[in-house]
Amino acid sequence: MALLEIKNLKVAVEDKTILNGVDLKIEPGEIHVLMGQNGVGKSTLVSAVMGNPSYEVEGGQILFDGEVITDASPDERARKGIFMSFQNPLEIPGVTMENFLRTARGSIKGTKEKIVAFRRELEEKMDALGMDHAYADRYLNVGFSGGEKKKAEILQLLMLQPKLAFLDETDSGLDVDAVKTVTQGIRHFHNKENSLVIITHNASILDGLDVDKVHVIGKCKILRTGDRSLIDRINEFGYASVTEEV
Amino acid sequence: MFEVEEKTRVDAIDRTLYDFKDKLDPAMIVNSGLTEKVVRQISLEKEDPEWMAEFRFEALKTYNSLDIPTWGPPIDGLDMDNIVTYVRPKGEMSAKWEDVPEDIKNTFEKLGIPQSERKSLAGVGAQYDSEIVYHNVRKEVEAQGVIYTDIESALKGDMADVVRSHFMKLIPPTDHKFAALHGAVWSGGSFVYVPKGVSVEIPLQSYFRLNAPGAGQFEHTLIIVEDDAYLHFIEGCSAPKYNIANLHAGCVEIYIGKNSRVRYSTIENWSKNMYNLNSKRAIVEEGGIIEWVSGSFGSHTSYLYPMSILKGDNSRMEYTGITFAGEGQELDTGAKVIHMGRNTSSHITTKSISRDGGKSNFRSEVKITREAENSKSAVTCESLMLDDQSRSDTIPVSDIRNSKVDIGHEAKIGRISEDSIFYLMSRGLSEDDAKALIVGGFAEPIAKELPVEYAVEMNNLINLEMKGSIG
Amino acid sequence: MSYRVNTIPMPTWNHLKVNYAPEVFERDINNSKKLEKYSVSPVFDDMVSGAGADFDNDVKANASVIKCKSVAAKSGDNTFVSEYKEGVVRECLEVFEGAEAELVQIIDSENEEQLDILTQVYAHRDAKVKLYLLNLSGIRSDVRSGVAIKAEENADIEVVRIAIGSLRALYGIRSELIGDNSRCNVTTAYLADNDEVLDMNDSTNFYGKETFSEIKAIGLLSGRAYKTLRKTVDFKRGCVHAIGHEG
Repeated sequence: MALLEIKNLKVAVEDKTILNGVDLKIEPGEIHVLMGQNGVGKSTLVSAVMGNPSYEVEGGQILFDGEVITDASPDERARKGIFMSFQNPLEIPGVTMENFLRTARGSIKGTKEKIVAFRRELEEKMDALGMDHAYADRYLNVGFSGGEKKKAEILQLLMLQPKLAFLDETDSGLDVDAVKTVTQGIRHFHNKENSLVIITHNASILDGLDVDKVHVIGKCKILRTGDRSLIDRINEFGYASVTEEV
Repeated sequence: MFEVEEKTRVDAIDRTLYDFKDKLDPAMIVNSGLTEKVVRQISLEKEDPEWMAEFRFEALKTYNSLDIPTWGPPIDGLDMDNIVTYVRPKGEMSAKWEDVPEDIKNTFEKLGIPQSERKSLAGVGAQYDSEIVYHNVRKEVEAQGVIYTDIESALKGDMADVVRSHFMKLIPPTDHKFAALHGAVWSGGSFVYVPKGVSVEIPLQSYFRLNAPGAGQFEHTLIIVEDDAYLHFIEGCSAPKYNIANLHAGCVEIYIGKNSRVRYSTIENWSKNMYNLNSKRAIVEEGGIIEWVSGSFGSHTSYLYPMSILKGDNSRMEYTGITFAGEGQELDTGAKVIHMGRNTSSHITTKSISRDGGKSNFRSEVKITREAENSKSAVTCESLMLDDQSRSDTIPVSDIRNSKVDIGHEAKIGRISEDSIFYLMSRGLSEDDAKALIVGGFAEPIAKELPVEYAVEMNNLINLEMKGSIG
Repeated sequence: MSYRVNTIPMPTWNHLKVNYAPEVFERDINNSKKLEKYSVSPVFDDMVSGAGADFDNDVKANASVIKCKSVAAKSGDNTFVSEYKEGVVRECLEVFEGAEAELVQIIDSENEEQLDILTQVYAHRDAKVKLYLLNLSGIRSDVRSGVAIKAEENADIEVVRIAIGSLRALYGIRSELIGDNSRCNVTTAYLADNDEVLDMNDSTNFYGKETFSEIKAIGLLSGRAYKTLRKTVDFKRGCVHAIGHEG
């Protein structure tokens, strides 16, 4: 059974149709890459799967683990195991990253997190991402640089251990070293059970990752699906080279 | 914030506990309404010194000559004729916990006073209805020469002259109608005297509570801190819920000597039918500092604007406050400051939260006199509205009579961000938890100023208010 | 006839004496020149100036001078200059969709003269309006000026007020940003000396989405001059992403 199955999904934002009939199937353990020019609806797809109320699903179905989740609230989806990293993570003043993550994991797992053990785990994961422990005590994303925010999103991914994670341009605005660290974090996260959907323009975040499928979005649909070689073609010859053949 | 032990903490201060009420068994209830007869009865019962009896009668006259305020939230729900102003619970002054009457003790146990004792707080002057029933000052504080007692004892004891020369001198009964009411019928409260050079390291704490239906509470707190001293005084208020409109018109007067610092922290959590018309004022001598930390929760209507008179050169005030107005509530809070000395400074920082049609108003007055050269004042007010039924008004007024000053005010007002809620929900938090977390974070800078057990209580109050579990 | 002017929308402590202008002056003007019959565009009917509805009604009832101007997108002449000395005056400016207009209003009264002036500006969609209010009066005059502004979608209004005259000068500008993306900025420069009294009450009410308003005042006081400055930004329900500054 597919982990995520999207059937004929139609999504509108402020009465404007952005996606008009998207089909997508992701099996456990797979890594998919979403590509497409700016503004074609990559983020819309992710937001709709996460259940952002600003995105209206006008038709179609989203199934996760065989269950229809099209009308589920974002927190229900998160508890079932869906995660998205935000392109522009929001700042939450007054709430430390540690408290937030402990609350979030408590909500997702429905268990109480032991304070000391949680902190130790958090610090280990921060070490893996090269983050200063001080960030645990800082207010969530407040005053973080762009790169720090992106790392904090990956830290959340590592701490929350979802079954399916969407990484929306996690590499944008990062320098080469930071992309490496983030890629390591993603490799660290990925296993046979969980799946990843990575939105990127840049192949280097995919280093060492075993990409199963690459989808090109345009004209409100998935225009083309292929293997990793599609990325190289796009980078060399542009989107037209892979979509015009369709 | 909302840690894993949240549930147990919330249970511990669940409103059902705050709203319990003991069987009313007063030794004496005077007639309803405010007449000369009532005032005389109070005075006789209190065995007032002669000057105090006179003071009460004068205040009553003032009360009858003043109009109710016209500028603030409506208080026409108040019916002064039906307010039993004075209720005395069973039992006399107690020195030992064991001697406190059982039902009263239950009340306090639910409020956690014995625990606070164990937490090495300096002393508890807990007011049950209008009478001090439990008072225990820790020996080390006494040994420093600090006097912490109920004000009625102080009125008759060694400090009688000191009380007389300070009582309602800072807030005279002519100030406003409810100050006059207070002057006429005041009952109970705390008296603190800190001698020169003494730093009271542990906070002194006081609890006020209302219990009788229709009872008003008019406790008076008088704090005198001599030069080069330090005191942290904590006032915690809560009251059970009744159907009849309740009125609280307390008075707090604080005298701060040269180079002394006083921190006055309050968490007020009144039941939702309370009219809380409270007056607080401090006068600060040269180099002295007053710090107010104030959390206003509950009540039907509140008028609360602690005032600081920066009399001496280089004196300072800091005011940090938070107000949470829910359904049916109108909380009118703020601060006033008068800069009289040179190089004085004031910082007023407030946050307000309103939801479900609640109204939260912030008003401030900053007055800088001709003499107060090189003074500085900054007023910052941030309001968060959780829905479009709620309302928040910010009315900062500055009266500047001097060009050598540096003043500024800043107000921010906004709705809770849908994007932030979605962000937190995408991490598994329910919509309510997401909102509570954001609001808790918004309040965090204020919580930080409070002693830890009060900060926890405040967060729990916010959490409870956010979950709408209390009506 | 006496009434309060320059009342602030949300009152505060009376002792501060800012809730309304403490100066009350009875008009001592012969109203023989009062206009009995006239009509102005109904768009001005329910507008209220910063001086207050009582003031507006008084001026409407007793005006001896009424000037109405309207500007359409194709109007050639769109700059107007008016000059007033004394009396009761109502001046209306309606700027239609996409049009631009400039109104320069000069108050130049002599000693002991009184002037009550109500200025109403209605900007339709995409209109641009510049309003210059100049009080250059002799020092012993009394001037009360109420201004009401309404802006529809995308309208852009700029008000510049120069207040350097009169013994007693009361000014109140109230704008309503009813259309999305409408803007209104009010900038005041004042100068008062001797025993002049300057009383201002400016407010912006935000109704439309992404509306913007900035109310600024700079100036100098000398002698025993006294200034009261009230500035209100009032965000009404529905005005998402509105921005208001006052400083």
